[in-house]
Amino acid sequence: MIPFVMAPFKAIHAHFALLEGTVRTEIVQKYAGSIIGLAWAFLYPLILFFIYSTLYLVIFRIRPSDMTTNMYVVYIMSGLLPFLGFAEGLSAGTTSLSSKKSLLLNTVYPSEFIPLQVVLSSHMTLFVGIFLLLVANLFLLHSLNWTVVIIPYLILLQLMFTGGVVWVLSILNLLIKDIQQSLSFITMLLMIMSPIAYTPSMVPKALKLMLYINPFSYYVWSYQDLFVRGVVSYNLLIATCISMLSFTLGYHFYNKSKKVFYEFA
Amino acid sequence: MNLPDDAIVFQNVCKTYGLYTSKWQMVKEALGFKNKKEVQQFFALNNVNLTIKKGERIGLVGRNGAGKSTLLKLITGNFAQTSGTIVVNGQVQALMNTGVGFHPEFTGLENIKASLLYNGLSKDQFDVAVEDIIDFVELGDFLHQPLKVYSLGMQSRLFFAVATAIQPEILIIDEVLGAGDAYFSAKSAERMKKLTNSGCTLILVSHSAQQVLQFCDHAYWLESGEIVMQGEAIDIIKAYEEYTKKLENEANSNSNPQPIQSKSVIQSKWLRDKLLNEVLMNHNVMNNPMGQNANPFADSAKQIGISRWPSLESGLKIEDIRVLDASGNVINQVGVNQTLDIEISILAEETGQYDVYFVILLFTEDGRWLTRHASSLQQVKLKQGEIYTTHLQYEQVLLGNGKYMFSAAIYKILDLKDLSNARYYDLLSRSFEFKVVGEYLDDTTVFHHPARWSSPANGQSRPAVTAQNQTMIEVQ
Repeated sequence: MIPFVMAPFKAIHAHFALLEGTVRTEIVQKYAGSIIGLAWAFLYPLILFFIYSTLYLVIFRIRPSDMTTNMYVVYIMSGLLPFLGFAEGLSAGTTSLSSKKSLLLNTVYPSEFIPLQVVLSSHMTLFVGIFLLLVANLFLLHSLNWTVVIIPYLILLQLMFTGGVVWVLSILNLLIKDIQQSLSFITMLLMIMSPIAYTPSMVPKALKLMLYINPFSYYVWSYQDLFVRGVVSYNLLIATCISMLSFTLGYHFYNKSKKVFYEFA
Repeated sequence: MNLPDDAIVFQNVCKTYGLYTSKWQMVKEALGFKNKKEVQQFFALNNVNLTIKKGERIGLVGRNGAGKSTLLKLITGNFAQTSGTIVVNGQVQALMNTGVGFHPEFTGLENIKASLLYNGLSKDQFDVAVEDIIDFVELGDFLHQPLKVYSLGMQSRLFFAVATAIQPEILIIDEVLGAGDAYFSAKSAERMKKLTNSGCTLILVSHSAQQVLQFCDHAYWLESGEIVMQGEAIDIIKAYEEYTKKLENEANSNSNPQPIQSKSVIQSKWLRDKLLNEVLMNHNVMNNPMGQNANPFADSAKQIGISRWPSLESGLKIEDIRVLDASGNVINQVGVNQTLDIEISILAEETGQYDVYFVILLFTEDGRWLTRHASSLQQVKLKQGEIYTTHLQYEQVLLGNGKYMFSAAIYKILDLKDLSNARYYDLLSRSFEFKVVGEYLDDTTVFHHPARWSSPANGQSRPAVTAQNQTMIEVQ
């Protein structure tokens, strides 16, 4: 049991420098050719932040009764940024193997890192966005909950969750290309089903069930708990369990099935 | 079975690919479900056994679809065999594709570093490799320009240099890479040579006989997923060339009168097997002197395995080849500046008047073609069973130390300007050998070119160099 769970961590530990190098390259590659380059990684969440604050503060003017407007903006952003990272990781990760086919013949670089390196680099916006959110938090609410020190742990959980899902999807996508076709609808659906701009109390019963079925809800709630409410709740525990499950099973599924699926690449 | 000095061992390895009729069948099979209808299987490799020792350099030859690339893929360990066992001792490096990890917006230098990540070098090796690549590609200021502005030649230079910056224990190559113009292809060849001579175990797939001879000691011949012949590289290459020549002739002879049939005939498995058996029989007999008509060329020139190509014209046959010295003694080695005489005896199988051109082709030991000696047209009248002899004389052998192979042929039609129409009675490909021993043991001169030193003081105003021989020499 313990070796089974530890296997993916061991693999990463053994090739950590390699993974770090490829993730770094992947991030730089994403912005290569643009004039302001890496500044986009800052600009993107910043612009997003302004659009959403304008939307909710000026146009919609809705908010839950127990929150101030400023609080509501932080609330939305603390759920939206992680979701966008997740969605990007999911779509880029799923096509990672089919778009880097030549690497499957490589004997030195472990191929299971290909989906992982793409997932990690896709979360660049989240890393920067969280930092900006902390600053915004200070400005808008003039306070910072101590619970934000747990955020790095939560990000790690999210990376593990996404990594595990992408391990399965990327290898299946070698054979079943329909996965990448349907992915944009699925992420759109997941976004609607995630409690980003609303709380469970604001939605009808039928939708509430969907919230609890959607695994990403627990991550969104955890972010909101740590940022806005300043509490550590059972949501974090559930997220931990989902992440461990996804990461371990995803890794073993990948390694068990890779030799079968590479043939169809 | 698995000794520590074995690098690669295949035991009864089979690899099949399903010939699926629909995507659904494929998906079901991949996910581990049984298909109701049996899926037809294609044997890409059929019961392959081989043992490659550490440090051995192996060539794989065979026609397209013979299973060469499948074999290499199995060695990488990323693909599974259908049955049998594969043992690989050592870190495998594959040179199967170039341009891995490159990005068009990155500069040359950034790309070198990004792509090298996938080459599995340690930290200090990495830095050395970067320097080495920059040195090799000679990109100058372009090194700091994005890849997308590079010319194709510059790109391929960069791809090649990065792909070959590896420290392999076991190296597998699917077709030797090269890059760029004449200058760079010479440089690339040098780099490939350094890599393959680094002491690693090498498995090379190539369609070029010359490359296999140059890089490999041993070779395997794969045909329809099976190893049909293995042994010294030169023997395998000759047998394989003979076979492809036969196929080619068969295709031509069938396509001329009935052009419609040409493709289907040569595709016929029966015919291929028949030709294959002919070649294999022929080569097995040669390697077994006890066999019937084992050695048609007893005490003539030193042979390295007769490889007789299928004749295109009937009536004449090469009966004997002898290498002689000035006084007519049979020799198999000659000193520089001495006389060498190659005697060709031909036998008439039918009485008649014949047009004959005699041809000798000379090769270096690693298969590079040095020179061609083609006689002028000779018209001879011969009775059945009569023997006619002709000589090719080197008054002074000017070749460097080493072994040389030669082919001998007699042609009916030979126009050096249009070799595609040449037709021969008999052709023995790279079947004979002689050795040249120079004055100095360690002399690695390729060719002792005749030339004269002179100085203006002696009354000569310009240096005079006279070439006496018209000889193709490829200087390394």
